Amino acid sequence: MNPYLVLGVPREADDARIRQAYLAAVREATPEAHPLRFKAVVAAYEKIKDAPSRCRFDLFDTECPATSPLDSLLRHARHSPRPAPLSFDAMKDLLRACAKT
Amino acid sequence: MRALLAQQKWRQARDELKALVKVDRARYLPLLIDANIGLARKMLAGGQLSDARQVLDHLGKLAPPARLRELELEIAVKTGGADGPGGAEDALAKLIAALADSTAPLTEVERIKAADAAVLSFQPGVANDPTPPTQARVREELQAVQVALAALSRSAWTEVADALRRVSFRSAFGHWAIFIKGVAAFHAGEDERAVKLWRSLPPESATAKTSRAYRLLMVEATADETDAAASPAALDGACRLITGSAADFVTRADRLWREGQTINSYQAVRNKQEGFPSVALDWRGALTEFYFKAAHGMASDEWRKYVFFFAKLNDSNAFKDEVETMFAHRMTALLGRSIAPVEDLRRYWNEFLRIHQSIHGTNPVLASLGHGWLGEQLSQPPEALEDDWQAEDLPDANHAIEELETSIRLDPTNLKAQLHLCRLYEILEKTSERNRLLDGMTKRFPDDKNVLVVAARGCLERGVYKKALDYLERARRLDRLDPQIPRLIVAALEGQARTHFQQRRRDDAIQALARTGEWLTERTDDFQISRWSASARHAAMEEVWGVPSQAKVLLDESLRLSAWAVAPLLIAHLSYRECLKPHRTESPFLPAFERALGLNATPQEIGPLLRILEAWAAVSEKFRAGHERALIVGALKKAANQPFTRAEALALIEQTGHHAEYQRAMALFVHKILRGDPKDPAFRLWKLKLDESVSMDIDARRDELDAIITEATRRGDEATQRGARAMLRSINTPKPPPGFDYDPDHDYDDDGFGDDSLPPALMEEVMSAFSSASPDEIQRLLKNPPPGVPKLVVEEMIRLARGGLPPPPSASGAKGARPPKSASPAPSSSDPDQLNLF
Repeated sequence: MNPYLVLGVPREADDARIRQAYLAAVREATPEAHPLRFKAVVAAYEKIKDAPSRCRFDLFDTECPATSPLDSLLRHARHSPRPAPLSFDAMKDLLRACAKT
Repeated sequence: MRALLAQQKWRQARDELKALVKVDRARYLPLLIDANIGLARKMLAGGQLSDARQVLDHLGKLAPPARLRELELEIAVKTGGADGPGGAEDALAKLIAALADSTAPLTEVERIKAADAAVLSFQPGVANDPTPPTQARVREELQAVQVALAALSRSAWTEVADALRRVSFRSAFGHWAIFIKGVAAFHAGEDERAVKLWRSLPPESATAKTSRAYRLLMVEATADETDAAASPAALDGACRLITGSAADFVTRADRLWREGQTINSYQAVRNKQEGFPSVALDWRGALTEFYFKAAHGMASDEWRKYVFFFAKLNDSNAFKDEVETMFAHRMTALLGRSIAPVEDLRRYWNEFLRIHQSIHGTNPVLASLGHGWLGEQLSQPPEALEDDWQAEDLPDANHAIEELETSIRLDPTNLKAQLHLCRLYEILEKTSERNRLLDGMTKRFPDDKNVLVVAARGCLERGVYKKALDYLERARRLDRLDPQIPRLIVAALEGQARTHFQQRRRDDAIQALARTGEWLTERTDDFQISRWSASARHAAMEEVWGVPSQAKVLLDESLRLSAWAVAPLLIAHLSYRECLKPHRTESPFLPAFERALGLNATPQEIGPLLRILEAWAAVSEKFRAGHERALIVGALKKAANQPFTRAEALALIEQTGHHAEYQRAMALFVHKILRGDPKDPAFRLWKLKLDESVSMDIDARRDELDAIITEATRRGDEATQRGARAMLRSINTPKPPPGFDYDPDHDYDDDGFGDDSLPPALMEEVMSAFSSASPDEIQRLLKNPPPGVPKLVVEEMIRLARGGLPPPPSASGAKGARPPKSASPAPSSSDPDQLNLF
């Protein structure tokens, strides 16, 4: 998972901003109530907490927990802001497709 | 007839019953109705909706309405719902009528199916139809659901809430209201509320199935909903929610990936999606990250294929854009660093760094880390050589230095690069460059213990003892527990003492030696900073430069403090030899050492001697220890006849097994142990190692190693297991052939060969092969000379070997000229090794 996304910060964020986002995220997603999110937030912070870490992430990170393209999209979506609602036509298609199963 | 119905042969049964009904209507009409209903259901299942409707219409003349209602509902659900409009208005009317009919209420399952089908028909103007008032309520609620869905897609939350107020809790459309409220909560980020609402939905309803797509996008609220259990439609739906219209090719790409068609999967997205690959933090960026990092988890043959695809794109200049180039080069360099030619590795990595900075902005820290990494890769000795590598085995030492120097220039605080460069300078014996670097490092990193220790070592090598002591003192203040610091301090003080002795300042020398007292240990098994070993060294210094009687006192003290009778004498002897330049081979301590060794030739005494001698010899290649080794070999042979334990033998062999000089003597210990325990895996392994020079069938060696591993596993001997596996690996992956042993004192020009010529033994072999090769083989070689060998050279060598070139074969391929006779018999022309000398 892209650590910038998990913490909700842009790539150009500095140490202070990243730390702020990390503290806000762990306050919201406590390990008791939201264990998966908490783990993701802590792991993300470790990867980009300071400039050398961010550089090492850009250069050498090879971690890929996703097992397929769709899996990677789902993991991405779970840490992203909610997508906008589907258009009416898209919603119809979705409902009809799901109803068939 | 009943048999036909039981076998569900509806059409056949119907045709026969048509005739039978005319004979006895009362008896056969119910069966005819059953046959028609069965046929209509079969048609519905097969998607033949219009045929099913025709059958239903025909049934309307035969059967009572009650029997037909379920079938009518099924047809209405099929036509009015998932299959879209197509007789939809009529179907919808039937559905609404069924939902509103209080005289013949539907079952709960039928009610949900009918409600779902009605909503999914998405017929406009539902509430405007002036039909019976009993149906008006149903129509209003249906329209309310449609309005709410439309408002949902516009994010008009107030409208959604207003519309849903018109749907009562007990309504057939109640689950739709819950579903829509859940979707609104989802978009508001209220996951717990959304999940709570959706959990109450009827499991087989369209709403429950659709909610699974949304739930796939939640982090925590999917405890009972795993990706693996999700239906393809839910996955597709989730994909649609994330990517919109790109879902079509993304789901296809996903399928291809799961089938192992990784390259086609990548291309399915690459060729269809603009802005992919991407550095953005959106779904395109997520997919990009996946496609360029997933390869790192693939098996070797898979990632090679995958990386090769991108290499081909590179070679044909076919990258989509700089973003794709950047990610591809990064992946290729990181994955292929152990197999790619060094020039390619450099090119890919440097290009990746350049593009990265052009996209994200100049970043000296990043560039420094990048160049530092490249420098490390270019100076990494090949794994196959394990510890047995030389400076010339490094992949590309010169460019490694270049990259590390660039790294340091970009970021002078990059300590790792500087330490690595320092080590590289040491390996390449670039002493002045290393010292210059170290001086700079001590100024830049005055409080880094590692830097201070490395700098101190450098000073020790140069004989600058005072500075070394200063660095070591500073290092010690930073880490009082580091055990290497006291050792280096003792070495520095003894170095200082030697210098003072040489300059005839005995008092200063004694003072320096006295200062070592603070750092010495009472432990007798430490051969560097134990009191007894220090005393032996100091005795040698006194013997060389000081007072011989004091030397005797110190030696006696060393013998008294030591746990061994011989080791102090060896240390004194070696120290004496080292004190004088050039190094002597003898010393006044040698006779005493030989005597003591003769009297104490036991494994317990010899073990420490081996450690001391080999550690001494390892420090400097120029230090010849042949005589001492010969003495110890003699002692070892004697010790093999004394009682010893397995542990003692193992300790001895682990110290000596790698040195050719001791192998014969150690073989005696091995054989003695194996006589007592033939299955002992550790000693069987040593037997193989010691017998490596003896020709042993490769398969037999492999079998023996397998047996050793099995026995070692049984005995819990992990070290032997590891050693045996390593040996097995080296059999399966042979080491690179040894390099040509260049002798700097030999005059190769006198040999009549240039610097590029072959060594004499190999040349003889080549000439012999040429002289006995057939004309066809010669012609093949002339047509395709070995890489790097000019055709002219090959021709000249053949002339020399054969007294001329053989004529080419005739066009008919019949008789060619016979090769000239040579002294050696002609080998079989099918022998492949004869010409495979390059």
